Amino acid sequence: MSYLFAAFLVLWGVTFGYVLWLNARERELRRKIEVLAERTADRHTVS
Amino acid sequence: MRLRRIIPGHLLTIVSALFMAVALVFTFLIAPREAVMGDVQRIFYFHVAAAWTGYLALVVAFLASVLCLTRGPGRWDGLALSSVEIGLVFVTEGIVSGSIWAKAAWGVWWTWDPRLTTSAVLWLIYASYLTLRKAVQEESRRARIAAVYAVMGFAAVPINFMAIRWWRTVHPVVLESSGLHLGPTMLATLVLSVVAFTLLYFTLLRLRLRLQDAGDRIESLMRCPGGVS
Amino acid sequence: MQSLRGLWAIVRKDLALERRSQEAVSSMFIFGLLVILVFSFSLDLRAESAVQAAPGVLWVAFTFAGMLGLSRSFIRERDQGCLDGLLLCPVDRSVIYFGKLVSNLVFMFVCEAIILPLFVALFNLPFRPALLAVVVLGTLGFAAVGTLFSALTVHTRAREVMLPVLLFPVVMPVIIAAVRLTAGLLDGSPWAEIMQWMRLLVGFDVIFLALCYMCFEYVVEE
Repeated sequence: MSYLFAAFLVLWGVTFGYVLWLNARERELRRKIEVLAERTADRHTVS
Repeated sequence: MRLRRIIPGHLLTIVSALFMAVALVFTFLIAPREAVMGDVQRIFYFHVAAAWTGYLALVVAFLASVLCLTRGPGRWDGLALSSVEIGLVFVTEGIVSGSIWAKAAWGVWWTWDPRLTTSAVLWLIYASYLTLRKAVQEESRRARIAAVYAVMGFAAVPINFMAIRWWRTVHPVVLESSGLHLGPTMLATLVLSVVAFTLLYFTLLRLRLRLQDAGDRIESLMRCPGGVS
Repeated sequence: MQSLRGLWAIVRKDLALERRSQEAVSSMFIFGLLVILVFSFSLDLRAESAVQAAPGVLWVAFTFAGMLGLSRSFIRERDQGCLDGLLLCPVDRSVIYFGKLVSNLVFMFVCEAIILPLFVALFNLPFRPALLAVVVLGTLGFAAVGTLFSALTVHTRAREVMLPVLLFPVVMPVIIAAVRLTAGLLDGSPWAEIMQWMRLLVGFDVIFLALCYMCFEYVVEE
């Protein structure tokens, strides 16, 4: 019976693990957007 | 991707969640208790579904790679990469759940069963694909090189399966892969599980593709800030 | 005819280079031999069990040695700028593929020609002429995919590691079939039993030769 539990734990663990990883990457992308936004703001003020 | 425009994202996610919930209910409550193995057998439904989805991802990655080679990288490369990533997730689940199932049913963690072994090979091919992408330094080449490998990998899988199946029949394994007789309810549960996982695949794919798109746009903006991408 | 001459030119170039330096063949051969020796020590092979394990040992030796030769095949081209030169030639890209394939095959065959008799002698195995056919077909399948992947990995970072990593999962059917055929032939099994492996081997060779030939130009184009 514990096998059944373990198997489902793995299945959901891996799936959610992947979703969490995707979230982490999205956060990274958001960070890059901030950097870009700052950069364009600078260029506007400079020029 | 066209898929996004046809099926609004939220609808896909909700339907996918619904099917998964129904599949769970069926797996645990409605499907009958198996005579020989008992409740542990319920792993079977999701194990098969996960493995099937893992292979589905390979087909998608193959098609995307072929298009990538013939029509030029663009969106197809992103699709191939996304599908391989998600495929890796599902094949990992398939192998681990299969291993646990094997332990529960026959007392061994691993059998050189053709399906399990081929899944292991598929896992290696996915992992190698991702490693290959990281290892190619020139961006212009990356998509094409990865696409060629995906095509070769796709061709290799069925041949691998046949080879391993013939190999195992030489030394007949006492542990037969699944001597399960599927009654109608069990069959329905299985089908439901497969559908649920397939929908999950597409949900994850959509999510992943959105991420890919955003990433690509940001990359191109970073390269020529202020320019038209 | 143009293509055949181009193919032959590539083969001749590789062979000439090799005849002068002999890096590839000697290192492949020594490595293959080492593998066989290491296995015979570590597996404690006595007479009966030797026949069991021997086919596997032979093909591990062949594939590992072959891997060495394959990876150098395109790396040397790239490092000396020859790859660009080759691409500028007015021949179909596939000619380059087949040219490289043939020279890789020649190197592997030369090594195998020396390793095989040593192997048969070392393990006191009966020699069957059909073994030669198995070796040829197995090497062909291995080299067909290997040549393509060698070109593929030329543009990657950890090249020498990437090639085995990419190659083995794809080439496994060849190894399985070759080992089973070798085992069957050495055992003296009836042909009917092992014929399916021959079919697999031939099928693999045909399919993957065609596939690699088609994919090659995508790999090398700029």
